[in-house]
Amino acid sequence: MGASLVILFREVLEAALIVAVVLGASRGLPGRGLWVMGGIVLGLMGAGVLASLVISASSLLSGRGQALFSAFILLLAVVMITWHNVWMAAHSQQMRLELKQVGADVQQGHRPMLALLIVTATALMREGTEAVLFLWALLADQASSHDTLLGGVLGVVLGVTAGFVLYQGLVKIPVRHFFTVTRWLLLFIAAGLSAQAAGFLSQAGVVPDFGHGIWNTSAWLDQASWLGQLLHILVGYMARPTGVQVLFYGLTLVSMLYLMMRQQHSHDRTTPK
Amino acid sequence: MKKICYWLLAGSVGISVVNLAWSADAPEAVEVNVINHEFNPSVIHLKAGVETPISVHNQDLMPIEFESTELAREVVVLGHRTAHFTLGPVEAGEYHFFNDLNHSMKGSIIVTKDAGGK
Repeated sequence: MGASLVILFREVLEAALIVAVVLGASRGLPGRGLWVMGGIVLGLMGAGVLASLVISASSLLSGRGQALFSAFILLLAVVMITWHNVWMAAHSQQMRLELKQVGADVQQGHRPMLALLIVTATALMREGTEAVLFLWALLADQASSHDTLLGGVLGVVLGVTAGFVLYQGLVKIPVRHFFTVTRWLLLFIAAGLSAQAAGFLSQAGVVPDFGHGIWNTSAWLDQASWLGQLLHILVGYMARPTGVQVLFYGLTLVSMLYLMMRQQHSHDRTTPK
Repeated sequence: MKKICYWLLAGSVGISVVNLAWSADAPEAVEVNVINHEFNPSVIHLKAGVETPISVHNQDLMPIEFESTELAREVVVLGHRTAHFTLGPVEAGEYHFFNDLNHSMKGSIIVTKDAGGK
């Protein structure tokens, strides 16, 4: 039971933490719960489709195809987070004011929510595929006890709880800092996802690695440890990255910061205080 | 800004083409089996600077995920299936791999200038 619990917990954790940050970042936008739920459902459906393709050994999803597809949805999430953050850079002051008023309406439509729906869906699809494959194998195996399945369910529950705990922690942040914090969290999450994409692209042979072990901090914090994994999800911590991973991480960070600050400055200039 | 983007795009396409087209002399494929929740062999020897094909045969029922964060490889291998991919080119040193679906299954990858040992 312990083994299946740990595996499902780890798979669910990454998606749950990202969903928690997404929910935080969309606070105040009407109906955002439905959008996020929609993202979760779409993501799980996508995970089911991907899992069945892997099981049927479709050539689309074999080896290189898997890596290319993973890189694609990771980069899609990065683009969506960038879109959202740039939008927030223009509107966060308005969001802060409206959060203080109860029942205020956001005039800007649903574009930022669409971006967050896609981020949610891609997170669920990425982690969900492995979880679905694992659960499918558990169910197919006659020797699996109810114990093992129970462990899996508990793992999912624990993962969701971790996301819930993160969200509760986030909403305790005072409103004037809140959107800054969620924006920075999303920024680092995006950089981490970009580095993961780089890994898959080099696995697929599309980009070279540009060297291995650019640094090696495994002795200080092993990426496979619980804290290491947490930091890996939230800030993209890599104990021993390849050159192309560091490159993608840095480029994403710099590009997003540049776009966000440019948006912020043009907003400050045109908006009366 | 647009010009920079075009150059970056052209540059990355160029690098990809060179990377994909480059073919060193084909090294012997490494074979790793997964039997009874163990990697066999659990130590892989590679030659530095060479892209080496590897086949992972999962003889167990449960899927495994061959993962090496240091070599940036993550491959899911379902039960009774085989996955083919490549490792490297990588500099000499010691690296690690594990089964992301069961962290107690671990192994190491020793890369030397001349793939000593088998």
